[in-house]
Amino acid sequence: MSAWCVVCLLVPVLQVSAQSGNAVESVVSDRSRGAAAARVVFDRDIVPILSANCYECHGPDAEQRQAGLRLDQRPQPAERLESGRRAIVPGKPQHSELIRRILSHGDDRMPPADSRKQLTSAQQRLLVQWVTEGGVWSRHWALRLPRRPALPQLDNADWPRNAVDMFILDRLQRAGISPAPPADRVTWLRRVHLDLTGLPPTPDQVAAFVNDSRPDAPHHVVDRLLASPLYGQRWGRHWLDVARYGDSNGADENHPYPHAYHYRDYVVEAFNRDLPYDRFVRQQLAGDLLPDAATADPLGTRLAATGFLSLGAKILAEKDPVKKQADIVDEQIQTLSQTLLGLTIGCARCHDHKFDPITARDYYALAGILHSTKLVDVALPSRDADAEGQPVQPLHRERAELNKQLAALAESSGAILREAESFDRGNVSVDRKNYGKGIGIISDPGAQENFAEYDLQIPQAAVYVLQLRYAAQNARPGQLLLNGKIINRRAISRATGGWFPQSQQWFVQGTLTMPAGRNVVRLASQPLMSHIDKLLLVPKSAAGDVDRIIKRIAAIDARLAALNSPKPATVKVMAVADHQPHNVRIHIRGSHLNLGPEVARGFVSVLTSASRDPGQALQITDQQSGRLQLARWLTDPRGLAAGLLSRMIVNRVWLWHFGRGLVETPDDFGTRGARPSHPELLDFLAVQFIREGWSIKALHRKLVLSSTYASAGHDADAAARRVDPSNRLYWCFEPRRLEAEVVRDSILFHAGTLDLALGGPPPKVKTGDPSPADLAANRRVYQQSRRRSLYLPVVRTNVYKFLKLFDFPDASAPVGQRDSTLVPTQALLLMNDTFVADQADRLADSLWNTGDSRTDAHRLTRLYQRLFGRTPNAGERRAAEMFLHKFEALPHRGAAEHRGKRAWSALCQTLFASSEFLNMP
Amino acid sequence: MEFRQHTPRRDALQRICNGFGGVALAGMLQQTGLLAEPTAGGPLRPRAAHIAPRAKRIIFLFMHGGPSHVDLFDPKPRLARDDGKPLPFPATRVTFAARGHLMRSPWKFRPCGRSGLPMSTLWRHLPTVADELCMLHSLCETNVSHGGACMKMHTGDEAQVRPSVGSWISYGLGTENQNLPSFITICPTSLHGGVNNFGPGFLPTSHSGVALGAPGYPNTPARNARFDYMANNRLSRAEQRLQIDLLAELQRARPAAKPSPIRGPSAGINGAELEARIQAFELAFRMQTAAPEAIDLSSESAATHRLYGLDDPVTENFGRECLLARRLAERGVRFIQVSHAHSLPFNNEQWDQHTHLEKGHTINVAQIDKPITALIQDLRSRGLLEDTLVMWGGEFGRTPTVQSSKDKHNLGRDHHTEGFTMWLAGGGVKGGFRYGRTDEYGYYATENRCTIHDLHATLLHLMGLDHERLTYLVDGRDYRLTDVYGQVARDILA
Repeated sequence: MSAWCVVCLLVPVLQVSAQSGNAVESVVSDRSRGAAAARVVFDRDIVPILSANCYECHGPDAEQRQAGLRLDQRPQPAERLESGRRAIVPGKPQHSELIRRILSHGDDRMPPADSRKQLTSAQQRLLVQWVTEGGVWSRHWALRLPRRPALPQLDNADWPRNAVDMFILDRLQRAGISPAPPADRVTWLRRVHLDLTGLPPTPDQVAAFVNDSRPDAPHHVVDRLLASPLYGQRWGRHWLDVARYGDSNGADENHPYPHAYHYRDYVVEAFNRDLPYDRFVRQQLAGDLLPDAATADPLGTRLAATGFLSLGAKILAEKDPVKKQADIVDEQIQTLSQTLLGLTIGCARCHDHKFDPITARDYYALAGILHSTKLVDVALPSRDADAEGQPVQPLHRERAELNKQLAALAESSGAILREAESFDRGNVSVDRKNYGKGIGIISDPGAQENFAEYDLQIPQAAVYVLQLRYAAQNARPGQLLLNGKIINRRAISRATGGWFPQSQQWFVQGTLTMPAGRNVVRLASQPLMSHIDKLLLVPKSAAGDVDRIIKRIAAIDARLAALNSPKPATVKVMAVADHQPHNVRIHIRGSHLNLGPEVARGFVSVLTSASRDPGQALQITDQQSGRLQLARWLTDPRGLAAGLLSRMIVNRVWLWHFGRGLVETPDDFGTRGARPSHPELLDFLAVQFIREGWSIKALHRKLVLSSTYASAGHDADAAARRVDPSNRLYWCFEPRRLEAEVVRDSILFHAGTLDLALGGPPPKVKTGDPSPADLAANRRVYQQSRRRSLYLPVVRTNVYKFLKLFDFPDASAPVGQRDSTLVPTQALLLMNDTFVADQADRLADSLWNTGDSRTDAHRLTRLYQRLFGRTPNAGERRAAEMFLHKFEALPHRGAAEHRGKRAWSALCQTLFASSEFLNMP
Repeated sequence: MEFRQHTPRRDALQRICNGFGGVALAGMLQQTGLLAEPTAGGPLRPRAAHIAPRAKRIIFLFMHGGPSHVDLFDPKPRLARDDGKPLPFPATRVTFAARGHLMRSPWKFRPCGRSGLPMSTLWRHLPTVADELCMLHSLCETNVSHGGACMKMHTGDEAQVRPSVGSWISYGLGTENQNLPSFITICPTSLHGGVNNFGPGFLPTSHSGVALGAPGYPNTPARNARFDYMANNRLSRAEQRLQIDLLAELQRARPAAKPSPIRGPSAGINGAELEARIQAFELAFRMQTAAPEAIDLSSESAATHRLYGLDDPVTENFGRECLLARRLAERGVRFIQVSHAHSLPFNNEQWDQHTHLEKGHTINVAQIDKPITALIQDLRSRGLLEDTLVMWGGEFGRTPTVQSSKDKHNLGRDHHTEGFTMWLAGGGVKGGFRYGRTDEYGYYATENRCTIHDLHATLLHLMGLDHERLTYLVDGRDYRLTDVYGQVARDILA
């Protein structure tokens, strides 16, 4: 049978199959719009076939191109192959060499046998149909300017709350699917809290929202969350995934990056103040070169931003300096092109890109810019140094005023302040001359079981918060007891930086429920004791205010100490600077030992479009690297690059909200990446994003205030699940496992131990060459830290195991979409990790000690309200009560009175492992 | 073989059933009908090989620092004759340290076994299994520093974080034991790429090497090697059993979240996820017994302990690692790495004798000679050697030239990349065989030059995998362990 007969047979089959396909497929591919819509769409149907099977020999790579045939570009009408034949004759598959060859059964069949590729008959049919229909060619979707599409015309106008919903509903209606009903208010609130801040709402916040009958109540919630600094901590961390942020080098030698955290803090701050995304990009690429203008951010901020280019993993021991530099530049190219543009420019290091229109020339044009840039650690005048010469009087005045306020507050609230050395019983030593000079402290007289007891007369039963002021160069943890019961088994546990009075700091140690009359507070530690100065007990109602005043005093003291120190500490940031601007030569097959022609500095020519010479498009002078021009050109709102930039970030934000991108390959928008599931919606959002000043927060509002986002996340609609099992059309809100940081932060949050402070250097851990003892010490640092997870040191190749098991990235390359695994090792961690058990203890303690939780039933209600914002149902109550009963009946060595609390701790730990706790609601 | 990065959403459950225990988890879900049969099993399910496999598992005995081929396995009489003379041809373009003159080996060589493989007199036990060994004398590395060379040896790339050989093999073949990881590295070093050397790179995390003993410098003593999170000193097993039962009860009692009535691939993620989480805990509970059992050496006979040298402080540590490797091999782990990666009083890395060659290599061989010999004998007597490939070697060799001549008594050799020796034994390779050759000084490989890509291609081939077909699509490109290089060393195949 000749090839043409095959064509004749194939075409009718194709007409049928195009209409009888899977219902979703037909919707997803827009083929159900009548006969005209059954036509093939080039970049949806044809490009994936060509790019996976043909481009290696007939694509952008000039060196590998066979037969003079190029299939990644529109063929010229009269273009002929080296053989003289025409590859594609529009409308005439029987005269098209391409069709003849893909259908051939002879040696000339394409793709050739030795390529190990083979077209399926469906792919053959599509190619035949494509040529039959005229062989229409169009530019790859990502390389076209986004245009704002018209809003869809809809029958049911009740459901959509905004344009996002209209695009979503349009597709659902065409698939015959109804959107899921809206989630209940508590679910929505928990969802938006976890999503925007990475923390759940408190029971008070739940109650307030449930009772808020204003129609725009959700808007108020979103406004409040976006204004919270917790927002930047959550969303900044998303960006750090794609900026492959790490606090150490990783790679071959794992040296620490002690200054990297300034970039992390810069990112968090940028999100918090909604720094327009175009400025965000410009600062990261060329913050050092942006002019000082009145509206500009300070130089220190802009330098910290360029950490984006400098904090990648590098092979530090590379003995060949030329190769080392080329590898560093390559890492920068890969990161900036994938993170910002979804282009795999790195593929063109050794040859023209196989699948996308990126040449080796393009690669070395960009490489020239980065070879003209060096990595530097810049010492900035520190903030304290800024203040040098400022009078310290105002600080002293403020401090005195705060002390007065504190005294007044203590007086009015009935707070109790005790000097540590005024203990009633104890075996500790008192020091007023050396470590306690001027303040008086207690400490151990040598290794022993140290204790100090204080008798307190309480007028009427009340709950007090106990703070301790102490100093410790190394942590010497101990216990806090009230009337013989342990309140905090890891009290006095912090290291404050020194043993002397200037290192004295206040720490909240626990909540004491004290009956009227005499109470005994006992501090114990062995073998050694920190240098304890004071105890402060504040009634719970006033504890927040007292805490604020104490923190402010501490800040003033720190500042005064810095001003008094002879040399103000300088701050260093990882940054970049221009350095000997020069063009580079093409490295043939990627080798720095085999150089081809020189290339003018510039960028990918398909994006610089109109101009043939990329250097001209960017207008780089001899004295400049070209980074500034690149940064400005990329963010020029009229340009193709800005369109791509906008689509990329809009897709990333969508993905971080919904768990999946409109483009499912968030780091690859090339021909082998995925095509958008909702191209019109993507373009709509991308265009609006630029029009609305590149505001990420405005984008959040569109997404989280949509009906799409508010949909229930359950399985009720079996019919919809059958039509669209993977929920590509967003008929419900797909639940997904929470990220590692959210799991850890939520556990600490519920235990009442989470430290919400912003920024600052991460605690020190040993990164390079750690011994087993170092690793054990590192682990303690992680296990004991109470800070939000994004502030834990990200040691490349040795990410904190808790976070890693929940799929925290390794930070060696941009990660646009994290894995979301469910593995028994996570279960092992939740069952056996001491950190989890400790926090469960704390949560159980707090349930135990609260006045109104005298019965298991009360405690269970409170526990569910705190964890899930709801009360337990009858089945859950029965299960929990049965558990407590059985648990307490098991034999155990400990004292009988502790059994109840152990059982409660085990119950809290079990809930930390539940699906409701670990999943986005 | 069709492997794709982006599985359709309907496979979400399979995707999440990743990692240590993932296969068993998927199996349990399959029984409950939550996973459809044809594709069930998760990423670690056993897969068919491309070609007939000669080996089912690999044990890589990694000699960190770079053992000296001209002092161990590749005798060069000319070195003795020209001792102290300059190298008569140009040195490699990039060197680690300044290069001195040629230096003779302090040891004599003798032929061993029926095959007559040459070994230096340092080896006292290994000659008894000489006829099992397949010497590769012509290895060539591309990076002269430990870090780049270690990463190249383990991942095929010296400059970027890429999947380790073990991860590729796990990806290609899956695992045979559901309760253990498919790739275990025993007491690895944290130096020179550290975790990157057994990391999954862009492959799914299920294919990550799992460290038995935290990676450290020096590496964790074998007697302290444990899997993480297996012990609980607060709660008894009975109490944990109650927790798991409670979890299941609570999940089922939860409103509006009952497992979907639809079974098979279209079951909603919600209901299925619930069931999967319960099963994950059940499995974790079982693994708390299975994994510690696999590494418990107390059930081995006293004779076995003696065979591996556990009764002698010199050989105890490495002997323990080798015995652990055998136990894991027996239990179906695909890729097991054993690291000889402590430090010496006079060198930072175990085999990195820039100085003190004589002292250092004497100590090093004494530590491994008996345990390695025992491993090969033990595998053979259990019938495991025929489908277990044992590989021995460092990230590079050492120069035939001297590095430091200040102190005549403590001479050493520098890093050497262009021609050094590794050996294979067992699964599908010729025993008592020498492959490749270096020049008369042991400097450049002159015959059957074998790059790291060639070595990797050969390892995959022996495991039944075609290195050109074992690909993974990421960011638009089909990546291979061997990049665009690699040729199978067919001459060594038995």
